Amino acid sequence: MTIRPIRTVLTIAALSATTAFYSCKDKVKDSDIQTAIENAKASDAKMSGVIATVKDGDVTLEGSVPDEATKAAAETNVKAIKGVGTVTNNLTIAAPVVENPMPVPVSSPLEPGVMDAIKSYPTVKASVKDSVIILEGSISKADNIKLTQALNSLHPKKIDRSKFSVK
Amino acid sequence: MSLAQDKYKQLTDAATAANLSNLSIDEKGGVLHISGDTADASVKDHLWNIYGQLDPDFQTGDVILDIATTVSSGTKATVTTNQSNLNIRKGPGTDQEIVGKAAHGETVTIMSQPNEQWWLVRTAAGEEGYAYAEFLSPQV
Repeated sequence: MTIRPIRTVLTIAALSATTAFYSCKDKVKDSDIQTAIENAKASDAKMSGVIATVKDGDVTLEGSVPDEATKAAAETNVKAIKGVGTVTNNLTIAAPVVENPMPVPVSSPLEPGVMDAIKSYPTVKASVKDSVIILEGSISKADNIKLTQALNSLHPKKIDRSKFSVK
Repeated sequence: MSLAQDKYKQLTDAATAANLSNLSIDEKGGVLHISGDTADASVKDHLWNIYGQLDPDFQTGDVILDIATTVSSGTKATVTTNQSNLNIRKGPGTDQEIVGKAAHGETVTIMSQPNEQWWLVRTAAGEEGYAYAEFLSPQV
């Protein structure tokens, strides 16, 4: 039977205590790591598809990101977080789904020409719908000729004067 | 009976007799479209006078008359604004920078006619740019 010298026993005990002391101080809570990951995600819209699970400091990344660069950046960012152990990167690359894209309003090619034409006549308002120019307001007889000539040169389908008066 | 044959016979007859190039008379969606080119501004005025008599103030809106005065480079034109100056612009649009002006009644030289609305002109003072064609009357 070997009797350990008391000196060795005390050293082992001291080391254990020290080790135990350091673990308690250094261990970062999983919830804190999760919070740090969420903060990192928020800074980059491309990371919004990343789902991170943290267990005992080990992080698993799942979900999809738009490109390889984002996948690599997610892993790098997480590894840099204090307390993180291993990072398992299961992120997949998938093109982002565009839901309900904003319809692009198609402006009539007549509009800029119409706006140029009425610019000299502050009492005239105009709008364009389906290549029909709708006039509102009023104009003098003399100016009406010039305005009509200018508007006609734009080749509209029709000019609606139902709300327009010539004085 | 169609508009061309009926209400606007005098106008379509005059347009046909006016020796316009690219004359087009077409009825679409209840609107009579008459277009053509002339080098003579008085021909354009004549047709517009007839149109104004047949439909005072053009109120009915059943005609689109479009007579373009197309002239050769170097033709002079009179500025026909009501009384104000005509802006000479860097480009063909009212959003374009103003680079000069021509007074009411002044004569300018037409350099080119890129489209029916904007012509490239040069003033006696040597300013060159785009002016709104509606306020220019080419001199015969």
